[in-house]
Amino acid sequence: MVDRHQMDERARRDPRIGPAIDRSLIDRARNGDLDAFESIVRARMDAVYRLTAAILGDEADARDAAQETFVAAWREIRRLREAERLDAWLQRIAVNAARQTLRSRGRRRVHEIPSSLIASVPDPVSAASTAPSDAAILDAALARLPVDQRAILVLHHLEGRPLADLAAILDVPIGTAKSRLFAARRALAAEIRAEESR
Amino acid sequence: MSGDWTDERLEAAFAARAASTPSAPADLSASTTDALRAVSGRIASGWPRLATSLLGVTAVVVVALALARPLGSPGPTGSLPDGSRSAASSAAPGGSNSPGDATSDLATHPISVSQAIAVRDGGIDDRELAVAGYLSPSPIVYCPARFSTPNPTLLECPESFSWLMERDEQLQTRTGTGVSMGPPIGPAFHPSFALVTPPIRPTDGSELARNASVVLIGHFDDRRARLCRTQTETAIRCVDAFVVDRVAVLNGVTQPIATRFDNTRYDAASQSEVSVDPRSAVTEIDRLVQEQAPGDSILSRQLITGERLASVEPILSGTTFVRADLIWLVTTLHVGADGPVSRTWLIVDGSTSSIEVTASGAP
Repeated sequence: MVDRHQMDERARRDPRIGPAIDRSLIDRARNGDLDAFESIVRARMDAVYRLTAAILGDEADARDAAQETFVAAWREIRRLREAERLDAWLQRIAVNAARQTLRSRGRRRVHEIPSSLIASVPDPVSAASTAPSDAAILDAALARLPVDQRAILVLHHLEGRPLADLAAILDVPIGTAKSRLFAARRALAAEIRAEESR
Repeated sequence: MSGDWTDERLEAAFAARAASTPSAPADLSASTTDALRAVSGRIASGWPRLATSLLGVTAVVVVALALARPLGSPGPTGSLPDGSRSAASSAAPGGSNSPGDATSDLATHPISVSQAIAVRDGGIDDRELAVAGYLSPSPIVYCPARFSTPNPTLLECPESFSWLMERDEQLQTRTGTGVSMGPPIGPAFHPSFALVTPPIRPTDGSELARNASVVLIGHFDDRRARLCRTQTETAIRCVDAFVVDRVAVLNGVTQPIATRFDNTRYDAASQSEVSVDPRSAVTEIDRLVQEQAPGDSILSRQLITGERLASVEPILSGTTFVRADLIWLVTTLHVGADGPVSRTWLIVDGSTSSIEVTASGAP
């Protein structure tokens, strides 16, 4: 199975997740101290939001999913048995929240245009003469994948999580994580081909 | 990867994507902590009192558990209508639950509309809430024909015109040709009165309708929402409907347990709607329910013809219950380990047993 302590050690060093969280803060949160949990929210909001935004590709959805992640985490934090696993645990909840958000997206009444997209709308004249960037092709291809495949690709390629971490976050054996990653990459390649041929 | 998308190119594309991913919006941590405080505030303020009033000696254990649960600071910003707290705590008139029971305790400490919205938006949560606000009357309007399968969580015209608002906003304005109506500006959501009679009458526009100050007991994420099929993209999400189980307070006056009667049937001979009289008395119905759920308190009752049963309990369409002349549906407030929730009990009129209706139906 996975060496979770090794994973958590990497996570603690990973600047993308955020500064290390004091063990006593997690213990206080597990004992119902909302102030302590709010400190965790502030320390991890960027990391959780970045993950949900990468999976969902929509600021409003990412915002909902990030908020849902922390509300769900607060409800469940007493079940977190190993404080060292907080980050992997939060990421797992975030992936589930993103999945839930995507499921309800189709029923949303108002579709919001994220401000970041408005800022990056290309000039129509120059856009006509410029091929889409690799990041734009990747964005479009990712958007057509099922959310579980998006999540595993984002965790691996964007968050830099190795297979062992993926297995821990998704709570599956390493072999399963490996085959899911392989399938996701194959699906992504197909979508990229389709995107390039448009 | 295929084609000329080498691993290096893919990694570079991901890196470019990562670089353009924005940071969390500045207000997201604050709004998340507001949502957390709303959720925790409900647990902290309501649950221990409910437990002590209902569960007697065993409450010691339950309260200990409740106190061990996250206790937060007071809820987020949000105001309650004048008198909503004191009114709900006044002595209950005949037919209501006795003061000090779970329903009274819940209604005595209502949350605001914005706090309820934070609960709704905080994830799947079907706990029973008492929400104080101003209820706008729905107008009498001509609505397009409805082809949706009826469901208590499906709010279309004219229900979509009714709001529970945080502030006393006048939604109707007089125009040269009549009255126009717009949505509220402040926090508001749509209540569903599919299970109880609305406390105020619809308005026909002949005069500007007044809002009512109310405390409504109900819940979001109703179990029936999963059977709800909206017809349009613009429809209100069924899980977002606040299904009202009890009008606890109306304009400062505590309301008794109400029974909604839907016991008329079209009589072909007289070509008119005729009332079908029940064989069971209300007291007998209450007794049957309390035998099954001794710790619960009754929120409301319905008497409905079998043929209309599926409109309030879609899960029971196609069952033998729809062939019964009359069905009683009783909603109770149950205080369990996860807080207060509503339960529904079904009694075929004239029978001597009650069964619980759940998300999977009735046994």
